[in-house]
Amino acid sequence: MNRAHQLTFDLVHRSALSREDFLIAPANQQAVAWIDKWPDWPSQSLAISGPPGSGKTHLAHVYMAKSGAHLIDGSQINQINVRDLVETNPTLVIDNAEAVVSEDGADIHEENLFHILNLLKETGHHAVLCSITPPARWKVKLADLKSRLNALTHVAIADPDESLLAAVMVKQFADRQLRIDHGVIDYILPRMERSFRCVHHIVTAIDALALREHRNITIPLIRQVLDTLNQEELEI
Amino acid sequence: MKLTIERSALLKSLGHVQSVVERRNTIPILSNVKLSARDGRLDLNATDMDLDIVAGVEADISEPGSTTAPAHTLFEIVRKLPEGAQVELDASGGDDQLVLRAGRSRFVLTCLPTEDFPVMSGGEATHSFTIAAGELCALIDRTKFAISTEETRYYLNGIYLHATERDDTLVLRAVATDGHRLASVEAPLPSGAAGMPGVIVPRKTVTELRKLIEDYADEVDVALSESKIRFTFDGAVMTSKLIDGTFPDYQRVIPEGNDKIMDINCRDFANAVDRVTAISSEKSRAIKLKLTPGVLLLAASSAEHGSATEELENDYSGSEIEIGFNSRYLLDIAQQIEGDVIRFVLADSTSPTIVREVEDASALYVLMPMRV
Amino acid sequence: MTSEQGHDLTVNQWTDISSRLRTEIGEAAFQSWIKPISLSHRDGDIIRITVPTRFMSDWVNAHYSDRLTALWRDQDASIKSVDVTVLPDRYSQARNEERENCTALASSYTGPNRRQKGNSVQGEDKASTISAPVDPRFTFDSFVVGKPNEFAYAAARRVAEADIVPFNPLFLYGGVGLGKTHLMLAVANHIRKVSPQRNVVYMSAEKFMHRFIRALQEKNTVDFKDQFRSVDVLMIDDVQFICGKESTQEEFFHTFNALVDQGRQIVVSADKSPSYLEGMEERLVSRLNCGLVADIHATTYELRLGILQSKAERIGVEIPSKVMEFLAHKVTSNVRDLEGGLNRVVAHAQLIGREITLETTQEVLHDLLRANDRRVTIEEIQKQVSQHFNIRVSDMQSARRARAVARPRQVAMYLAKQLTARSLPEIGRKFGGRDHTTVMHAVKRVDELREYDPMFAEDVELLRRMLEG
Repeated sequence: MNRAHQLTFDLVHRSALSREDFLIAPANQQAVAWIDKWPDWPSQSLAISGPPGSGKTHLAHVYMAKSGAHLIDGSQINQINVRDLVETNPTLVIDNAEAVVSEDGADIHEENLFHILNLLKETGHHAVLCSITPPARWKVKLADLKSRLNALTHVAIADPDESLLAAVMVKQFADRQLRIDHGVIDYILPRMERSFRCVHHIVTAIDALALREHRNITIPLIRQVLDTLNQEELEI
Repeated sequence: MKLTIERSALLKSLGHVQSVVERRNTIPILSNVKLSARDGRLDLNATDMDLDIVAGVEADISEPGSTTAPAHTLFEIVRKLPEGAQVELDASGGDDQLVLRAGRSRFVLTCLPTEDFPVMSGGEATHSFTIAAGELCALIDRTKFAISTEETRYYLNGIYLHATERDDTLVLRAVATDGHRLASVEAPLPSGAAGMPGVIVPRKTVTELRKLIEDYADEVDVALSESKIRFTFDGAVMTSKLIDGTFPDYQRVIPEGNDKIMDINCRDFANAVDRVTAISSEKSRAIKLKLTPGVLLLAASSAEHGSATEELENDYSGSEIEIGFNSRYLLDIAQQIEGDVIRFVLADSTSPTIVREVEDASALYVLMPMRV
Repeated sequence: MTSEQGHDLTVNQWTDISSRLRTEIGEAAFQSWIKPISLSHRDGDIIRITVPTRFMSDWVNAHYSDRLTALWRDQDASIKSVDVTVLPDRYSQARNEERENCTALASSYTGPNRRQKGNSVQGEDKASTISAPVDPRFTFDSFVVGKPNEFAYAAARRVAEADIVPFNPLFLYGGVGLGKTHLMLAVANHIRKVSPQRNVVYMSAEKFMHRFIRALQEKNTVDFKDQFRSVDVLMIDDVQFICGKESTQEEFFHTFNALVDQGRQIVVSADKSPSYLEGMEERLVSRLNCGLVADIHATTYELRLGILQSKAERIGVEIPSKVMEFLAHKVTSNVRDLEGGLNRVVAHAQLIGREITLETTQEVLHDLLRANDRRVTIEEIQKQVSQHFNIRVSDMQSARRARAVARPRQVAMYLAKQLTARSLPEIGRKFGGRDHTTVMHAVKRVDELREYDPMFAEDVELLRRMLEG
């Protein structure tokens, strides 16, 4: 953008993360069923995998509200005493769990996750692991961890169908307290990549452009956003 | 219903309520003002379903009763009557018409039944307090310019009023922002307002309220219920729905680490900005400020019109910085400054800048720069 | 009519309306949008309903308010409108209560484990409290013996049944998930059963290290030594985890010697034989080597099938032999993967309440059986569909409108929409620069054809399966 343009405040919004706010659809109903079933689980841990923006974190928060679980990020696993962590928390959520393998030479992460899984067995405590790829596909070096990941109860959130995409979009606009006309959603849907990630991109871009230019969210504004996003994609 | 009232008294009260009535209405009854006569008093009531005003005025009632008549028409008629005229309002022939007589004029207005007129309930007040009209005016006047007009972003279409504290003093703070600038102004916290929930009062409500308390020297009673706010003053009661949204955590956008301070004469600054902006494009209204020790350079340019610069003396002693702003925003803020000196507290050319008075810490403005 | 009767009537009407909507809009949409609606009350000619969140009210207003009003008017012509309001408080309150209940549930749920732990130490001396809990399900009986593990099994049994120590230590090693822990726990369970007076301690090397470090921090190493040196049978699992940990190895070395000197039994497991443990001190390696070193080999197909059968019998679930053969054939890595896979399949079937079939097995273990979910590209779809209908790939982009090429092109567009996340305008571009409305039309057309032409539907399904691999 070369033209002079107004910068805007970073007005953060909060996503509604309660169970009632979760949109149940064929793509995620099994994951929801597992969370609803807790604590009646066949094993100590539940792994939920799904593409970015598919609602893993939301489900994790639903689980936290339900169980009082403690939340940690996979990247923090090397900084904590795992035994204390598991022993003092009857329920846990490990978000971004694949962070234990994504860093180079981070064997200590893997070993700590391995101990966590063992400790869960030992204590009978429960954990939800959220990741983008299923744990069975993580490139772990530690064979002991590998086989435990393979054995995790796992549920994948599938690609969204159109009605779920529409609903997620409505929710994201609502989270940002933006009043939109339904025609706007109908206009965007057939023109966008059909992924959770793209919903997030588009809603973010629409919000930013409307705020910057003080415009209402209308079809011409949407068209401008879609053109810009397309342009960016072509340049990549 | 039948009564007589002096023209100017009626005009004043009608004036209070009629501006609430929208020019175009899909629901006919909302175009009307409800007139209720009883006990030596005429109450006028207008509403748009979100905002409801009742204004009362003394009148000589010969027959109590009520009806509703077209608000704008009635107002126009009364306005055009000669000063000092005695106006007779007569709906004794039934509530489907109102006869207005004054001197040798006679008007017959078509009415709608009183029962159809919507009643707005105030809800049970959870907090109530009293504030001087002058203070309420100041809160509104100094923040209103920053209210967002973006309808999509409904949660910014009003003034956020809440109880908080600054430097261990309890205050009632009004905040408005449109995402580009923010205004935050405080008054001492009235007793009774402690612990009140933060509420967003819609733009139309504050605009109407401001008009009504313009010349009013006394105090305004404010009552809050879960979804409404009610102002009572000077024989009038104004009840408004609150905006059903969450105001953003505005404290986050008020920078704390800005270390570049420039004090400058406010009037000189505003005049210079106004002159230089004459050249910048109508659309962007961008103006560039270059701060160097001793000199502030204002510059604007546009492809169509050319360029302009102006220099002002300043007391700046920080490192050189160049920053762009929307000139209209600078003028809006400069207008709020009452003292001689306006203070800029900056970080860099892309971060929020604080603008305020040197003497008065109760008002604070934050402005996002433009990338130029 | 009393207001109560009036309210009952309204409730009944609402029940009718929601069940009609259920059939109209389908189960998924019903669950998402209609089910969370609460009927508040009738307010003159307005029906007031509430939903828990703002965006739900936006959505219900945008999508269903006309339909809801129409359905109400069918029931009662005097109804003018349906008013949707957000009523979050009751829900968040309910949620908080639920949260408290669940926390209580969570702690009671972990109760049995804790109690189990408590039971196992009852009546024993305090030293045994250092043992990790021993799951009673892991016994020699539940261990499935085959060629790859019969030697280790025999050695473990010998240790469990002998009155005097037959060899010290017993060192069990093998790849992960082959049953080392199972054998150690079987030893512990057996000894605790036949000679309850003997103090059997089982723990992971990680726990040994943790306790030791804590004892150092608390300057309490005397107690630590006392606790360990009073055990009759010490079993340390996964000893490779103290590789490189010098002070822990040193302490373990001394504990080891003290116990061996007193004629107590030691059982150690690792993922490799002692000599291959990197970062293990020489003197400890030679100690570990001086008893019996037994290894467990990778499983064979027969052993895997045996394990699955025994496992299925134990959990009492009917599993088709085709599914077990499939698992034994596909999941070859180790026993844990195999049992884990079976558990996952069983858990899934119980969750959704359906029988276990080969298809559900493949679906559930999708991540385990296939290394990745590579997405099909539009080009691959075009190629496959062209081959199938025997036309040229270039016809996918051509302007020809003859049915022989237009229909396959529509099928390819349809599959591109189903199998890729590409936007419709982009799909259109890949089909010779067609508009996104053309793609929408193609999708609609294919859907219609699938509806009344079973042969065509089968064709499309076949293509989809081929493309998905």
